[in-house]
Amino acid sequence: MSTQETRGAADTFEEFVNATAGRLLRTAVFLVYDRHLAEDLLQVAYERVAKRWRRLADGDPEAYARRVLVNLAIDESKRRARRRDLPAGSVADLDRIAGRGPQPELPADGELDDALRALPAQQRAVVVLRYWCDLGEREIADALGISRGTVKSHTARAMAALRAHVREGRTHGR
Amino acid sequence: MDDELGAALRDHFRRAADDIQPDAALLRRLRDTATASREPSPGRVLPFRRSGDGPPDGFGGLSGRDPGIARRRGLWTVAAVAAAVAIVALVFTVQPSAEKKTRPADRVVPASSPSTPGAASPLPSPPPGKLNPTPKPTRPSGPGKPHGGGDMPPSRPTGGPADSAGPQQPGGPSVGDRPPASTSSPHGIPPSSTAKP
Repeated sequence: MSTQETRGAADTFEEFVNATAGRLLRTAVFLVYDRHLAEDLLQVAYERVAKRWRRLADGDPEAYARRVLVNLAIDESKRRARRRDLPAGSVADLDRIAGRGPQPELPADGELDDALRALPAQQRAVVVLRYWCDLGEREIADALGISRGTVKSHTARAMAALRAHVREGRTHGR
Repeated sequence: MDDELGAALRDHFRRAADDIQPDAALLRRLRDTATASREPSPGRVLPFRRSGDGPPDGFGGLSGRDPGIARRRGLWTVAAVAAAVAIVALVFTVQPSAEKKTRPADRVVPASSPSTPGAASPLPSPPPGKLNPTPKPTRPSGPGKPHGGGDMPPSRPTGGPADSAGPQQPGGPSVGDRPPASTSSPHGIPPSSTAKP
């Protein structure tokens, strides 16, 4: 490979990074609800895309990066749950454990935020891919490496949990 | 209800996304990461913002697996291979020594044993491992007829040249045969009295 070719490919990849970093960073943040962890996961995802850039350049590198990101987020969530070194519950749960009541000044959006944090990682990933990335069931199944039926069941459970959480939050808030 | 919730989720993500913008430092870091991963130089470690927890340990490898797990797996593999080699070496070390131990016992049985198959020998067999270079050839034994004086000491020293010259009847003495004088003479009993028809 000549120097010129390398330089050109690097420019293309840099353009890809500039164009997709914002979207993928937001996706990562919604997946893990931790800005620093999201940035680290995004870095790993871009690293993997860069290593396969010559093959991915003709296809859809953003979809590949998103898939890597989602799988990294789910693996990280499982790893943390295994180690039990970090609280797995939501902020509302921690407040309830600490004896503090729900904060009435939180807007309805905050309730939804807490409900999303409380979801299991795979259900949250399904919700993020469906309602943030606007992916269909087939694309979500491809991204997560699961069947469409599993996507449906994850979506139904996540929506039920979100509905229950929001309803409970509104009940406690009043 | 799901439509309402879905719309609320879309609205929630849209509003939250406004606050999430990649800064210049992150973009530079991402570009550096890409450059480093495409042109790997030995010994270069990709910089991560946080070094305490998370991806530096968890996702450092390309496969996304924990490097600690891979390291432990490698150690177990090395240990298993070492154990297998040690077992094989042990088997090959023990086998020749076992052969050395069994070889003298093989030599205990004399080639010119006068005993007839099926005949009971009154004398105790020599202990294994104790070599008797000159087996007693003058001890006739008939089939099913043990000769008396089995525990008597031999009347003359064995190993002399006369031993080989003594009468030796394979299959034991027949009726009327004279047993050798060496076996019946110590107590002064005439040979004819010991012979039974």
